Amino acid sequence: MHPGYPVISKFNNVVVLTVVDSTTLLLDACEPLMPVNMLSFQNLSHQGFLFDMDTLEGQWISTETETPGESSYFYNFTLGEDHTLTGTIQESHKGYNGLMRRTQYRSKGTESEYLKDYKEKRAGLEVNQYEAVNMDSVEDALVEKLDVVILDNVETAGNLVYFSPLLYERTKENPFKHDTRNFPVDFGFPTKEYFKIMLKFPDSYVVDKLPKSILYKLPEDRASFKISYLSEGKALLVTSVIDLKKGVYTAEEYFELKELFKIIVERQAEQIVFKKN
Amino acid sequence: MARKLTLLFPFILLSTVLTKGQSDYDADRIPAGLKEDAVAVVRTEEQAFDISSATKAHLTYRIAITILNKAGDRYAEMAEVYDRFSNISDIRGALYDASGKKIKDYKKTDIKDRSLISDFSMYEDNRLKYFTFSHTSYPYTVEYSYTKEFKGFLSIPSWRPVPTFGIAVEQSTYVVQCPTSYELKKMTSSGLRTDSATVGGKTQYRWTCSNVPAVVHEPYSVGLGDLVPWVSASPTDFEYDGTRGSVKNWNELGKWLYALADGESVLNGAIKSQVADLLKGATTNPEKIKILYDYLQQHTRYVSVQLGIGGFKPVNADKVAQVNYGDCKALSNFMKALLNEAGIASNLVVIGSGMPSLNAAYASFGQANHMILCIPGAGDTTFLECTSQHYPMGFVGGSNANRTALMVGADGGKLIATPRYGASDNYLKRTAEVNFDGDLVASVNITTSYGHAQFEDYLGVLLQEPSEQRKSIQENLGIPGMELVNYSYLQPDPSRPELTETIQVSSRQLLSRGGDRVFLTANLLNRRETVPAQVADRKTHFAVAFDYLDEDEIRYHLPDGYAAEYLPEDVELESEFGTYTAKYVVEAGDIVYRRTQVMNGKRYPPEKYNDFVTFCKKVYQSDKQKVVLVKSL
Repeated sequence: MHPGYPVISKFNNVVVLTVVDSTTLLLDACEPLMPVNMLSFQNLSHQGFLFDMDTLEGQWISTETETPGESSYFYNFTLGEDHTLTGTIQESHKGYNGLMRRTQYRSKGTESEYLKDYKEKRAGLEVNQYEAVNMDSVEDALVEKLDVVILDNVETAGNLVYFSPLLYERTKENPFKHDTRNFPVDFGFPTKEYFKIMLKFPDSYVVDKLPKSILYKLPEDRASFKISYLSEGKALLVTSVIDLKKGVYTAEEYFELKELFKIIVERQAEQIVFKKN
Repeated sequence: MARKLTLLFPFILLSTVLTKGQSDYDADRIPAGLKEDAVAVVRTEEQAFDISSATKAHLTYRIAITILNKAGDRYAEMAEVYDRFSNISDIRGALYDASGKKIKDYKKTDIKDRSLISDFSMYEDNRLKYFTFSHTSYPYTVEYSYTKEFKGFLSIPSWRPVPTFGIAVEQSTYVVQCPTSYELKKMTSSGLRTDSATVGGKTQYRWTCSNVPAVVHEPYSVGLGDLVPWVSASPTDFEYDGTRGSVKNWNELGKWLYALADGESVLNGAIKSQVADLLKGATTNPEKIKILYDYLQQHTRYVSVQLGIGGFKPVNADKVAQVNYGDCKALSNFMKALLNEAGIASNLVVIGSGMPSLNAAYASFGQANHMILCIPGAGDTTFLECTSQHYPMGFVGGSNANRTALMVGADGGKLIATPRYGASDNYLKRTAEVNFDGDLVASVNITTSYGHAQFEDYLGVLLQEPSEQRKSIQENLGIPGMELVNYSYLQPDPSRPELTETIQVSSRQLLSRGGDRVFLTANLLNRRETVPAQVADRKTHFAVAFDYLDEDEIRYHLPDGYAAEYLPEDVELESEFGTYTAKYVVEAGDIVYRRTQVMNGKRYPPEKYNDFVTFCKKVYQSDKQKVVLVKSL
């Protein structure tokens, strides 16, 4: 809204600002799962009007958030000769990503309903054990630990065995599809997605040739993508990091983002190929 | 003897329930078996419908429901519809905490009252009284009650104590009471006992259930009707908005509907000569029907208006001719009037569009929601959907097809079958050709024809602005990294429900790399991406929504210097749900992928479900098969 054109009906929400030990904190009381100093997504409208009830003075303040949405995924798997992946998944969600995951969990009502939904979105996944740490400690990262068996995700072609190592966390589609852009891209908050898979594979397999590791950065480090592959003996390590350092990108920066995601989709789709001896 | 005694108690029971102590809503008192898989538990529900005459009845309703978790919050609300013929009063509500202690009483001022105009309706007289309970810790219990007076009614409230998945019921009772001379029609779930007795000079019917556990949500389900108790009831003879009629059977209901519409399909004035002009030169009936249907589509718009008897009685055809809009009844009736001018007889048809077929054995209101028109012919009956400006003549759409509907005539109603659209009608037929340049950038040419039900799915796109069509393709086509080069949508023959789509795209991500090899997902455009979860001990029937046939053929001209190292094996699946084939062949150096899928749209029993999942899983696995290409140089 226009700072020089005061209209009360342009406001539709109230949050509290408090200063504790000279640190300014915003408190959003409407959402029970909200950590201190985080505003609900619809309140991330860039600015708010701060009003002092005692002095009856007001001023515009920024509501841009420093808190990113951060997720990390650690997969530790053993590939069997029957092409199943067995091992553990550990996911950790912080900031807005933690809030979203907790909201999702809560909306399902029970852990079994939540897991049913979790599995439905991940074809071939069987969960033997599930544990959530910090589900109710909203200030901390939510950590989910799973013991899993994954079917149907490793494919064969003659004596080749191959799979896409990011499995369910692969960015499959470029969200930016259109040719033109008039408005900024507003994610609301910066996001960071960290992925790591450690894989042991059978003695009878050899890695055919690993995909190339790359680091791709937008100008002025506005965002970056990194994927790397390492193998040693009968084990390999793949890491992927997507780092969107800003919550808002300008309409001009749209094309950079589109290109970035194009590279992410392409590189994360690369297959690891084993040859069977 | 024991049975007789219980019959004396319904009203005594009711009054004891009303004075139940608060701690009776202690959530700990819910039997453990009822909490399993439940998001909410109905603690007690009492519904009583007392009929004095065809124009006077009284409903009392009371429920207490314990909400176990957040997913149950949506049941913590009271909402009841009323209109000019009914009135809601005595609304009370209370909220209890986990231990059953009352936290809050809801007062008259908490109740909201608003118009209930559906999003497609311009004007209706339905209104809603409602309020929502809110509480932040679980479990909690809500209790509410109201009474509702009816001045004329076409149907009698049904009883659905287990409304959906995830709800358990401790106890629920429905009592219908009517004068002994009153003919009540009723239909119940199988095995449900109806207790009837004469009480105070009235006939009383009573149904009850207790300790019904919740059913876990099951995918593709056709609903809980086979598992849980329910009652549908209806008057036999009714009086409504100044009319009298009977729902003894469909024929009688048809008589009432015929009388309402009778005389409303006669045209007068300017439209008469206009129609005569239109028909000049037309000799055969099909020609005349076509001319008049085109006229209808070009000159009228669909607008829904539902007011009392106006929910059943078509607006006069002359009126429609003046304003050029109307609801399904008004437009069907107007079309009937146009056909009258051409000397072609037609009948209004009442139908449950997108609903199950009318129940041949049980006539009642509430089974239909739509009207179309039919022109009976010697061997060939033409059906017209009169609310669409874009359907080809005779095409009624998937939601009207394959159903039993009620044809209304001077001799009453008659059940008829609407057109059947089978798999070979509801088709998708696609051919695509893919070329790669030296940098492995693919150019893809796709031509797809959609028929009947699948034509309907794409009709919306056909009518969009070009910029929106572009966006729709970019968002939905699903070819990774694609750039849209060109596209077109056209209806090759406007008299047939068929749409042809051509799309040209380029993409540098059709092939995914893996070391020195490249991988090609041969099924470019029509992949099953998910598999429904297996369900152990499934309880409800499931359904494939409609018959369809998909045929895809994709020809890949391989990039220079590459050869196919591996072709997936052909897949052929036969099942009662449908058939599926995927074939990979090398023809003149090209790889050609051919896929067919035929699905049988019908209901299947629960024990077949895991076979259905297996079928879907095999399709899923086959659809993601990759061809491996390797540099041959």
